[in-house]
Amino acid sequence: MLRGLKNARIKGNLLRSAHSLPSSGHYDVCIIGGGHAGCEAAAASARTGARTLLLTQKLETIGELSCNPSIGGVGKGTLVREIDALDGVMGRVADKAGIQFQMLNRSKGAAVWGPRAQIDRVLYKKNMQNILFSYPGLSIKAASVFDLVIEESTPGSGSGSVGKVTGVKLDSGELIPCSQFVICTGTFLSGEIHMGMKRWPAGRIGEAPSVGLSASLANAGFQLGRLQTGTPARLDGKTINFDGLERQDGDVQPLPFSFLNREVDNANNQVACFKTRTTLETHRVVRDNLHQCVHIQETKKGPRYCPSLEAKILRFGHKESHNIWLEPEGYDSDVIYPNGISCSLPEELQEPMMRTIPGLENVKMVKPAYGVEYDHIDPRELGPTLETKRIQGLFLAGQINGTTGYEEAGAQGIVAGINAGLAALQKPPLVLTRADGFTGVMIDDLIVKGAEEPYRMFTSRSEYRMTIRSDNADLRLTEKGRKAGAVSDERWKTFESARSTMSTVIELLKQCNLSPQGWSARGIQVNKDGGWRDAFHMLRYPNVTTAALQPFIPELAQVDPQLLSRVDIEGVFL
Amino acid sequence: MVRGILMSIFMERVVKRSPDMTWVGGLKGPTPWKLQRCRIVHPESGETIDDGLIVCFKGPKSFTSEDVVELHVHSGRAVISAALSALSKLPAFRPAEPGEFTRRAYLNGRLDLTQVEGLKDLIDAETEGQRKVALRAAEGVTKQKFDQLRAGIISALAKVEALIDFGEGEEIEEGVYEDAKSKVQKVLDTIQGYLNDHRRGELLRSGIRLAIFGPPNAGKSSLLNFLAQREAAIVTPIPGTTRDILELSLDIGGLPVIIADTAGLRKTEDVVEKIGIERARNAVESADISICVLSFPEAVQQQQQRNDLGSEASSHWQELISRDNTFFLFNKSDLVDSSPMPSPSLPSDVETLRLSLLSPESQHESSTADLDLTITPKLDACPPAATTKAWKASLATGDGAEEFLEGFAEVLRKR
Repeated sequence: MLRGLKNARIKGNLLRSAHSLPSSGHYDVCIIGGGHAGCEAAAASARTGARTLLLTQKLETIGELSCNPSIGGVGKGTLVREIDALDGVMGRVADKAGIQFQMLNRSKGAAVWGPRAQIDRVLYKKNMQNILFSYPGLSIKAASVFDLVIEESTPGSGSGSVGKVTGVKLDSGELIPCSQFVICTGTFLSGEIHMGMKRWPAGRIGEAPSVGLSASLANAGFQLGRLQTGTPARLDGKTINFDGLERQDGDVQPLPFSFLNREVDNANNQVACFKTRTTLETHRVVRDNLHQCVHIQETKKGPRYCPSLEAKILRFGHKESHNIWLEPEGYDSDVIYPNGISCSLPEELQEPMMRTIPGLENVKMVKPAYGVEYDHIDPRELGPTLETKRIQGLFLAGQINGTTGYEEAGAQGIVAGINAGLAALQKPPLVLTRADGFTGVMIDDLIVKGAEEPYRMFTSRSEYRMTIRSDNADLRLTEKGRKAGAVSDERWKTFESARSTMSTVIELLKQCNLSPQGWSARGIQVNKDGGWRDAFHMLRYPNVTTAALQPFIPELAQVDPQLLSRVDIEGVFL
Repeated sequence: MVRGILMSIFMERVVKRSPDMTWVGGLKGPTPWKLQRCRIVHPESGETIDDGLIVCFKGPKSFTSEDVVELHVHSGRAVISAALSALSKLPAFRPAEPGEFTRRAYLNGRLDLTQVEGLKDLIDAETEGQRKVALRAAEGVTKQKFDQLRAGIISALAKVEALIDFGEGEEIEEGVYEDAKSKVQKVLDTIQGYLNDHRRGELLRSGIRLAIFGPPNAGKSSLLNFLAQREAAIVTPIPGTTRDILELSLDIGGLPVIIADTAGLRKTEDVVEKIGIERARNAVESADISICVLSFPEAVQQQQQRNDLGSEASSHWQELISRDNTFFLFNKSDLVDSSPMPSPSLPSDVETLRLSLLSPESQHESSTADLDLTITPKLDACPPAATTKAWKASLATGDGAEEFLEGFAEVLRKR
């Protein structure tokens, strides 16, 4: 929702950039869709050096957060850091647009930490668009894709695929030739919105779905499945009574998502979130009106981990209440996002239902909740670079593959974008395995097991979670990205410096070798088993950190504390 | 049995209804799952081959889950041959490979692997004990056990994953971790229990290895003959894998027992003691259980000597005695004078005799089994304790032989 002065400025920026684009030209890679997957793919492809074009229906929705105004979480936060490690954009934009930062699972150890931030929608879009509109090698155009132009392979050509894409046809009739395509259409593929018993075609509320593309994919032989997701209503914060509700503030020293940032823009200006809960009365209203919700009546699979309120009440009928988090949408906005009550009740029933919730007795709804149903492709049709096996040069990324979540989409986008660019330049691909990171875990899960229900990332999905943590994403991925040509010089410099400092510190610690008596003389008790231990090894012990070691290893005082705490974590896990 | 898709061809051309009989239910063909009379005719000549019975099973309610037909014919060689030859005239019919029906049942999900193995064991079973165990496996008892373990593991895994993925602020109920931990412990204990059964399953399938040893002339060969002749239960002589050693496979109390040869069992070998002892040592060490056969009167005498002279006379064979795995048969009990012994302190009880024969080290090991001793003063009484490890008998007269056999079978069953 755009309001006021800011909007005019943004619109102005867009119009200016749109006019400065070449109206035609030859492109190597074409990205279809400007959501989270599309943005990462577009930037990534451009970084590899391929001439990239991003096609999206409306320029002003680039960087739109369709549902929850937050980035990160358990598992998801690690994906954001991995995207950043490959020089992606999501992490940097989140650092600028974040209005409350929290590290989830802080007490449970670094392997399960989940960095998370509430996001100002307007700031996010503004920053994302700023970055992309001036991204070297990237052009952006507003258009609707109508059809894919596929050239059939000659049999016996040995490629194993059925054909390859040579261009896209737009709604306007214009044909854009290209050798690689990345489709990132999110929930827009034959999207249909459900509210109560009403249903109408749309990808997001107020926006037209992409119908032609669905048909061309089906024609190309892809099996399309149908999935569901939903989003809650948006509420007017001025009509909410926050007194008596549990308050949650952000971390005092937020850890930035991006490895390039030492701090986040709004660390000292964080907003608070508030917690409330549904009541038995709320459940009664929902139950009495289930027959009016077409969404829940269908048998399509919905996101298991973001269940609609109807789903929660049906499945967990014995629970007397469900938590709801009231999250502010931005600094300049009074809109509150109620996390946990997505539903598809008829519009006229939603407000009365919400007024049964403590704090929301007088609430006014600003936008209604709705469910959305959309086509998706069976991700088993893809290879590890997210290129389809069937059609050469066609890559798919994001919700179209059956995932749910911005971060999951972004991680796929960056891998698809890098590989589309590399393919266009005829360079070898970048493949991430399960051992490389959660991105690899996700891609492997998708292309091997498929997606029967919307796939959401969790820490438990990885068997390597002790080694592929959010803190060491750069150590795992940045060099790989650099070798593939997808990491910029600025990032590479920052990374190399961090890496070498950390390894110097570790060396330093390893040289401080003491006996048990030596350690206890310095106030740290160890088993008196006669074995000598170096300081790096000592980091395993509870309460032993580089800070504690500073008194007798004074060189540590010169080192950036952020890097020191990374060494602390490495010491625990190595 | 005949596979289903071509059943209709088969039905039309080979199977005709008996004269004066209608198919059950008045249908044009046999009703499924009903055993009915029919005529088997040759598809080409129309000549009747046999008057028999037929039962059809319509998938999935059949052994393999596919359509299956069974022809029951008279079992003369010529009849079977004619029937098979008639079948071979039909297109796309072929004889089933060994185990093929079971394989189809497995591939169609009707049986799982433990059941298939159980079926094989059932067919191969040679003893009652083997049959019973195989039947239970074929019925799916083993499968259930594994399914239970699997369900336990999945449940614990789900709980742990929930804790990893959610946890703070998501209101997971109390005690989830403890729950998962105790579940895992239970599964672990169950698996350990299965593994600790002293290879019982394997022993049952492949046989308990028994070695018989002792000084010459104590009656080892008599014992072997006794065991072998009992109920004429020798099943198969198995040629051994090492040079020249014969093994006999017996059924003792329903359990398969393989008796390995040791020195002195067969009459044809050389009597060089060293080689004989070597063989005995190998056999006893590789055996699961061993019987030491001694002459009762000699044993008593030697015991007396030991008490009186305090000497520790030990023969080579005494080294082979193990505390837990060696059982004793004191033979030739008929040669002992049943009049009261001169000295009341003379040990006549077999259990004390056994203990005295154990090496000093193993004597000092504590064992609750030995604490169950009830020493009876009577000369030829054997304590009927469940932990009997020694028996007194006379293989020549048969006295006490039954008790020995039953007692030993009991021992085998317990293991």
